[in-house]
Amino acid sequence: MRRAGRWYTRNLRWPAWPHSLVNRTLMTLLVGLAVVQGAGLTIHALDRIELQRFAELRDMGIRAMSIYRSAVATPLGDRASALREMELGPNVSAVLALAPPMVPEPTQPPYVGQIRVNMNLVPVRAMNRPRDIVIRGAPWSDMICIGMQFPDQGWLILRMNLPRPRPWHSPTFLIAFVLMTVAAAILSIWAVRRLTKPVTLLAEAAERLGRDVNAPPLPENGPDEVMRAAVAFNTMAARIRRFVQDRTFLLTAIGHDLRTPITRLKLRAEFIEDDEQRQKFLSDLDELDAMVSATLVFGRDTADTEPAVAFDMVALLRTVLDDAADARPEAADALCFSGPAHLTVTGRILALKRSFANLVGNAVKYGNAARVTLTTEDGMAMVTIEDDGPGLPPDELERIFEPFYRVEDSRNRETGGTGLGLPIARNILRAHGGDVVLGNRAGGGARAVVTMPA
Amino acid sequence: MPKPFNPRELLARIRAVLRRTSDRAEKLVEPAARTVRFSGWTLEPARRRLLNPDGVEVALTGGEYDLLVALVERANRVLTRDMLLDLLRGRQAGPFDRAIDVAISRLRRKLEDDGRHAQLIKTVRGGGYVLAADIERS
Ligand SMILES: Nc1ncnc2c1ncn2[C@@H]1O[C@H](COP(=O)(O)OP(=O)(O)OP(=O)(O)O)[C@@H](O)[C@H]1O
Ligand SMILES: [Mg+2]
Repeated sequence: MRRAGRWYTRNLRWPAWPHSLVNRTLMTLLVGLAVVQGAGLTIHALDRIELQRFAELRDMGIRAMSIYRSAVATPLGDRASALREMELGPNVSAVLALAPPMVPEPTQPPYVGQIRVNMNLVPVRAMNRPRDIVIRGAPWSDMICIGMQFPDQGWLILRMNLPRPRPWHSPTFLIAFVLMTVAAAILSIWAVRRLTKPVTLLAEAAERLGRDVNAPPLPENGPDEVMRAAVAFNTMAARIRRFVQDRTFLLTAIGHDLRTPITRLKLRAEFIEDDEQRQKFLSDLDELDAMVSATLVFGRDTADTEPAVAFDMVALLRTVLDDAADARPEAADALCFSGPAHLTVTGRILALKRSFANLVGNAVKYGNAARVTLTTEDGMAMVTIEDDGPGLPPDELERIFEPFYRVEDSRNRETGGTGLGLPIARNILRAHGGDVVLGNRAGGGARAVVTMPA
Repeated sequence: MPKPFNPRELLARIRAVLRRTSDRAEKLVEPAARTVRFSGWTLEPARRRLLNPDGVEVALTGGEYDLLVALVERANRVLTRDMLLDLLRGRQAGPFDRAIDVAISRLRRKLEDDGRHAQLIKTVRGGGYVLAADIERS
């Protein structure tokens, strides 16, 4: 649930923002590449359009003046028919008029100068030169209107359509451009993958360490920064390992060394004359002895000497339930399992078996039932163990995971126990990257919920 | 050990104890225990464990394990109910007859052997069971 919530808010904030470092870096790089390439392409296109326009305008100026020269050389009366027969070239129409052209809006296109300059390239006799030249056309509009006043009478009006600019004129350029972009993209993908791989390795190693303190160390090679991170990580792992080991060693050592004095005390107690006193003394010593034994077991279970193996969780849970049923045949009918047919997980099977046995044992001992359910979600296996007992006081739900802690009214019961079952179970599960919590069912009874990476 | 103990000495002592206990554990393993393969399954007596054809460990109860070992040892020969009774006595309380059926059906489930059309642990008419499989020891 927590996972889903985080995912949701993160996605709400920025829908397209990818989660992984690789994808983020890639996205930044590729978007950057696209922007740079897009800008380059635009600059190139604008440049080409400018060049094409320049050539067209030059051509236009020369053509306009050539048409005018032919027209002005024709006598006034024959001009209209001469124009009609004249070869004008593509996209040009010519008419005679008495007034200068009015269309389109009288804005001066920036290239009017270009046309005028090029008109001068066509030699015309001085007496035939146009008395006035008017050039109209909105900037970058496709139509240019040129009016030239004849020295004798009337105007020659030319309408010329500029061809559409073709910036992608050359196919080799486009192919080269696409190739370049693809090559840059592939290179960035490769580089990013390579650069972020150590981060992924480190994350995986940290995850492994969380499940198993004895996980193999990271290889200490690669570039300086990566190597330093690996060395630091391995040092940290070694420190954690030593810390855990020292603590368990200390615990088992104390437990072990307490045994001898307890045995001595038991022997001495036999000399107590008063029968009742002796009985009380001995039963207290037995209890002390049981606690010490449990402490030694606790130390052994957390020593992590067992190797991790792949095993079937379903078979393990069934085995634990069957063992419990064999030990308490009268409760056998209240023990049941529901879940998939198989689920393969990796872990220290004996230790995990002990932790499930402790939880099922508690359910049977304090709740006369153990209904075990196995589900998987998001790569986590979830095992719930429910019983029909009195449940637990809500303010004790965490305290019962402390070593030797027992709920008040179970202390005086015949049920015995040392109060190490739950801490052992939690210790083992946490060493596997999982956890166990206890709670109360709505209908009465307790529910233990175990989560573990599957 | 004197009260203000030296942690280093303590550690040395614990190591000694641990070494002693693990030595003892090793000696308990039967030297003759050899790995047995049948129908893709692997039984490792040295570690008292069963691996399925994918190499995944399948947990067994003590009773199931003993039963499987008995069946494997007499593979392809009938194991009578009397022999099974001997085997299970002391492990289970309650009526023995039912206990045998329960133990067999549990073991069949662990071995993924469908109870109705059991292929691996077959029911012999007249009382008894047989493990029908080629055994390979190594
Ligand atoms: N399912 C349960 N229902 C009610 N109370 C429970 C349940 N499980 C645990 N408890 C309470 O939590 C206490 C601690 O449990 P824990 O298993 O750690 O110790 P224990 O059962 O007393 O002894 P042991 O070391 O033998 O397991 C128990 O004494 C009991 O009071
Ligand atoms: Mg307990």
